[in-house]
Amino acid sequence: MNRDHIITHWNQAMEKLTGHSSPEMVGTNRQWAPFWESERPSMGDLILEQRSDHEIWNLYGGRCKNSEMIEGGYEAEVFFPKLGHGGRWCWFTAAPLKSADGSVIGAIETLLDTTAIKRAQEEQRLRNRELTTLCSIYTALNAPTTLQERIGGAVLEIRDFLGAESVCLYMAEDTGRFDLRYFNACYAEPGYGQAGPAEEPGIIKQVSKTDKPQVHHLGTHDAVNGKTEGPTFAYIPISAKDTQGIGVMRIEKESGLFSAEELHLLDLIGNRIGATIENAMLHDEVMRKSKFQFKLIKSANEGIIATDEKWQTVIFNPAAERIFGYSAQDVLGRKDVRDYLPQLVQETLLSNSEAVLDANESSPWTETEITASTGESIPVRFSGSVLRENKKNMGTVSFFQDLREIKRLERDLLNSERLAAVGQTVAGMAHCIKNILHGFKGGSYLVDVGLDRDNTEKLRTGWAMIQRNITRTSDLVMDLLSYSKEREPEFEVCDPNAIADDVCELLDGVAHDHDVQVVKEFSDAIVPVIMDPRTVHRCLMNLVTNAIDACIFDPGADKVHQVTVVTSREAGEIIRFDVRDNGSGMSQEVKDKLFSSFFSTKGVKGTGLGLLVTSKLVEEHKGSIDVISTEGEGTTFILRFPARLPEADRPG
Amino acid sequence: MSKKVLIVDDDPDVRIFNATVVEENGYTPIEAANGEDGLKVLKKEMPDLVLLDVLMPKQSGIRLYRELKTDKTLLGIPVIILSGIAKRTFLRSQKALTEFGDKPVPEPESYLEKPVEPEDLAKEMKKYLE
Repeated sequence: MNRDHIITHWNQAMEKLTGHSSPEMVGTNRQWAPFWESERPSMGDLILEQRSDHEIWNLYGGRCKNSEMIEGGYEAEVFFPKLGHGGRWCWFTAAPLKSADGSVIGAIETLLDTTAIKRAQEEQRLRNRELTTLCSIYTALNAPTTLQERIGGAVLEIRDFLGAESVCLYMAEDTGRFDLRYFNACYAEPGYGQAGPAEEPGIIKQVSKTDKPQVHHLGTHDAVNGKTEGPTFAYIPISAKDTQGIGVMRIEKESGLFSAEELHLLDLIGNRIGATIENAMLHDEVMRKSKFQFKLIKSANEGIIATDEKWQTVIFNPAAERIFGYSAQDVLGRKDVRDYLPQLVQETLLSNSEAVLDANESSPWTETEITASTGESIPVRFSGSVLRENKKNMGTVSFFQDLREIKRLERDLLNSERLAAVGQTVAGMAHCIKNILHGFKGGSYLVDVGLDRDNTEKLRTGWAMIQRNITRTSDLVMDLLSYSKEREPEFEVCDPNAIADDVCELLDGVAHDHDVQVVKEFSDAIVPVIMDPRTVHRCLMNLVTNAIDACIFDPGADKVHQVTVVTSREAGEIIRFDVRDNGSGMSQEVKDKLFSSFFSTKGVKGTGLGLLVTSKLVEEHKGSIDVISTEGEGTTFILRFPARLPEADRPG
Repeated sequence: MSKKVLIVDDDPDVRIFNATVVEENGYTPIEAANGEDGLKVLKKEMPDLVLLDVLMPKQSGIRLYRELKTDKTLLGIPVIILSGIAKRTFLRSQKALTEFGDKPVPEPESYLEKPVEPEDLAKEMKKYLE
């Protein structure tokens, strides 16, 4: 530019930067034209006019300064919106061209396009801000406070970073619904935080399901000038690596859209929040489990003692306190278990730790005795195992059951069973006696009627009834006596075959009356032995009577009914009696109740005590009673009594 | 013709006793030895009163009572239970059967516990037959 402000040189770089060619520019004073909308002095013009610093400052503002390199020169960095597409940043210097005498003969301006550098710097700045924000969000999420407070802190950071109107989190519930759980304070204040689009619930569900962010704009957006009216909502999935669909974060901007960078950043933040929530849940789960286990150990009925790998006690639960008599305080971290666990337990644990057992396999339950703090010996059952992780011993655990307690419970149970049996017996007896009394009443009534009417037949019937009920009374009393009396067998030399024969003869008459044959199958191998003949006689009487009744009650009328009594000798000096009938047999239900008191299938004929008495007698004689029965085919009772041979007959 | 009284009891002595009381009071006794036969005779003879025992082999009185009281043609026949079992026990067993899903049945018209005085039995029968 010469002294008259006319362009003298416009180089290729200027042509390229401005898009105005050299011929177009040189020779004119339109140096402003490529840069500004209207005419105004360029920096070079100002230098030619030798304006003051003050004026230059006014025109270029703070962006202009004196050049440090060239005396009288100026530098500035200015954004020219007219240049290129969307404007360019240019760094330019302007300096006077002076003649030898120092007078100004022209001015030179050099321009450097700094747009790319500027953009890079801006990018850098944004990245820095992002990083700073991410850092503060991560810091907020890892703060040593409650989950609620941590997420609350993160929400505020996000709001400040984006200049958002509101930020809130919808958390997925087990029911498939979403619950608004975290939000910044503004959201909760009236007038702040707008309602989202009408389809918001659906959007939230979809974002959570697809794990992809969505942006919804309410209002207008002018794509040409980049202006928006009305709020914009971004929905960001909250998910962790292992758990997707934890929730959705909603960010509301009152104006302006979300840039791709912002959305990317929000996605990262969503993942981070997800991870935080997941960790918190895992932590809660671990805490809950550990609390539960703690309670379990504390309330267990078994004594539980655990040690670390150096045999120091680390768990000593209340049940262990009760068994061993030490308090947990005395023991925990203070006592080597080898000081108070019996040798057997220690050996079991040791052998367990050396054995190549599968991890954490327990020893079988073993009975032993421990010595309590009082010196008392206490019977226990114990099982122990060595705790291993990755084949490394972590310690031991042993479980102790207090057998005093179990023995007491067993005793209680036995007593209550006995009481129940007594109650049942009394009830059954009352019923039996009532029936007999009724029989007596009936008998005496018939006798009365017979006497009044002079009716011998009624008299006879009444008298027979009275006699029958006298028999029933004596049967009942005899059965009750033999059942209730503790009777020691009286041993003497007797012949088992002779006893069986006597029973068969005694009952043959009754059997014959009902067309039942009594068959004897006695073994020749049987010799006189020492046993209680009265026990054997009574038992056989009961069983053979039952067998005959089973034939009488049997509806299969075309059968030839037989009761067979078999005697035999078994190894170990056992005398065996089989009483077999081909009568009615028994159902499973009847078999189950066979030996219970006052159970009878014979109606009024039985006292319901016969088999009960038989089994008691057999037991007193150290014998056994077995039954095989098929409904409709018959029943066999098998008695086995131990017997001794008289001295003289013993071999050797 | 005199009124018919069905006696259901497995004990022959009880049957003789009850039948004599029935006869002495001018009614006609009919007998059955268990619940199963009882029901058959009941349907055939349509008696004016039933004297029923509870504990019997084959079908028990508990079951017979239920069948009688749920049969439209029979439920009008009055029943006197005559048993060694307490009334409380009998009612409890009926209640249990109802709870197992059977139809509920009304309480028996009368309940006498054995042993019973012949005068008391006669008085009770008269209630339903005169």
